[in-house]
Amino acid sequence: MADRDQALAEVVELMRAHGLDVDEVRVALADADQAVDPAAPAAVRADDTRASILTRVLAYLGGTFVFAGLGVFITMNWESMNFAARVVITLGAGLAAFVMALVAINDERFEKAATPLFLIAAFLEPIGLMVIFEETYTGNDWQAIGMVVSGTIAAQQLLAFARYRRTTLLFIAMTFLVGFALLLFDKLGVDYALTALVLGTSLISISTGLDKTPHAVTTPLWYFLGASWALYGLFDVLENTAVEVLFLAAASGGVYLSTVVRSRTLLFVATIAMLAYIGYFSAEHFVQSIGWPVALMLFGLVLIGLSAMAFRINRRYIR
Amino acid sequence: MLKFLRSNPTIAAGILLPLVVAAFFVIATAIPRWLVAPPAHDLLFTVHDYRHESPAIEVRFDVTDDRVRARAFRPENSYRSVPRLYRYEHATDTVRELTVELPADNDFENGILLDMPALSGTRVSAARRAPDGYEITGPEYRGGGLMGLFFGRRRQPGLAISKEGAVFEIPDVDGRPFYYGSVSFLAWVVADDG
Repeated sequence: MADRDQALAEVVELMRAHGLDVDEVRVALADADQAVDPAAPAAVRADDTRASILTRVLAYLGGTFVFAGLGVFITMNWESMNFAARVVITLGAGLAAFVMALVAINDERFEKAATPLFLIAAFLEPIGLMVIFEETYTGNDWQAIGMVVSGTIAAQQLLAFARYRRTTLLFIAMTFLVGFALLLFDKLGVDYALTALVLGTSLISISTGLDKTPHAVTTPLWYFLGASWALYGLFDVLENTAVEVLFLAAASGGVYLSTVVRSRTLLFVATIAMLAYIGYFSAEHFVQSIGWPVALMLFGLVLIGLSAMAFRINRRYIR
Repeated sequence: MLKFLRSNPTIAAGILLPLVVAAFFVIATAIPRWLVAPPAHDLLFTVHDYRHESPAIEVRFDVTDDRVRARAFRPENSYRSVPRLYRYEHATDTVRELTVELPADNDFENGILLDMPALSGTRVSAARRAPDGYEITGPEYRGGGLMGLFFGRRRQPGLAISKEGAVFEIPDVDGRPFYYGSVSFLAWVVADDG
């Protein structure tokens, strides 16, 4: 009872200190009642959580249906649309989604809608730009068109990222920049193995830097793509050369790097690359001498050993 | 921006690496074109045009005594492939088709040589290498690779003439690219008398 009296005395003191009247406190109490009461029983809180998940799932489903409806509408009426209608329905809708996303960022009530809106914009805007080129461009330099489209979207997303620092914007910008680089290298006639090696290494390097920023959540995908491309490109360069075995060293380097940057994805790709190379090497050099069944058994043992190693590395150095 | 890149060297390295490689390829492509003399001869080549039906009369082009000949005949087995003759003009960097007229009053049973007014005064060389050292390359076929994986198709190296690393791509005809296996070298134009 004494605690309650003391609490009330503190409330009165606080109200006087901040010049609050009873009505303001009543409104604040009513608002607080709307939120989940942390002191409520566990069963009540669980019900609230379930309701929240259900609401979110239904909201996502609803959004998906709206977007799917837009897609079906565009597909069904595409042939009967003129140029302006096609541009408005694709580029126009994309730009509208982008502007709505920017508005949503600045409004706490719609802040969660920003990410899906940015993704919808990133899907529709390039289609709209391609429609414009399809209707107006008479040449056949499709790489240049692709570079203009991907460069434009990447620039838009980077400008928005510079202002709002949203991970989604950075992710979309990187996606289109990777597309831009692929098209540029193709236009320059760069061998695709070298393209894979350069872009893969670049993505790994950028990801190690991104890991130290608040945008680290996207790096697993970039690690996966980067390591896959880099190792694929390296194998293509080294295959059937005197230094082919260096590929194994590079894959081992990938395992080491995975412990330094604490990336499970990098560990996965590097381990798979080692396994694949050992399998390839066994098939090339040992199958004829020791026979396929024995080679398979040896490969199985190596597989068990490597997977155990990867598991241990993950537990000791990455987790 | 510079401050950000200085404090994040791995991100800077990741951005710079593709830029350096791209710059290297741009320079590696541009330098030979500065150092090597441009082509000095026109190129004659044929492109196989595939038809839905076998043509009743076929025309074949060849080089005899430094002259281009066109021979029309009634084929026993036709492959629905009609060669069309093109001339790449190095001075204007353009390609134009050289057409031949089939006489109406002939049954072509024994084959006849056709008049070619566009090349009547033109001496040619059927050697693969032109007198100025240029050679025809491509069009080549490249598999899908990374571009195929992400974009469904990738750039195919087109028809070109090249010498010591200097490559001059031959422009497409009517926006249609030349495909691998469809182009045949015929001759280099050595002199135009007419």
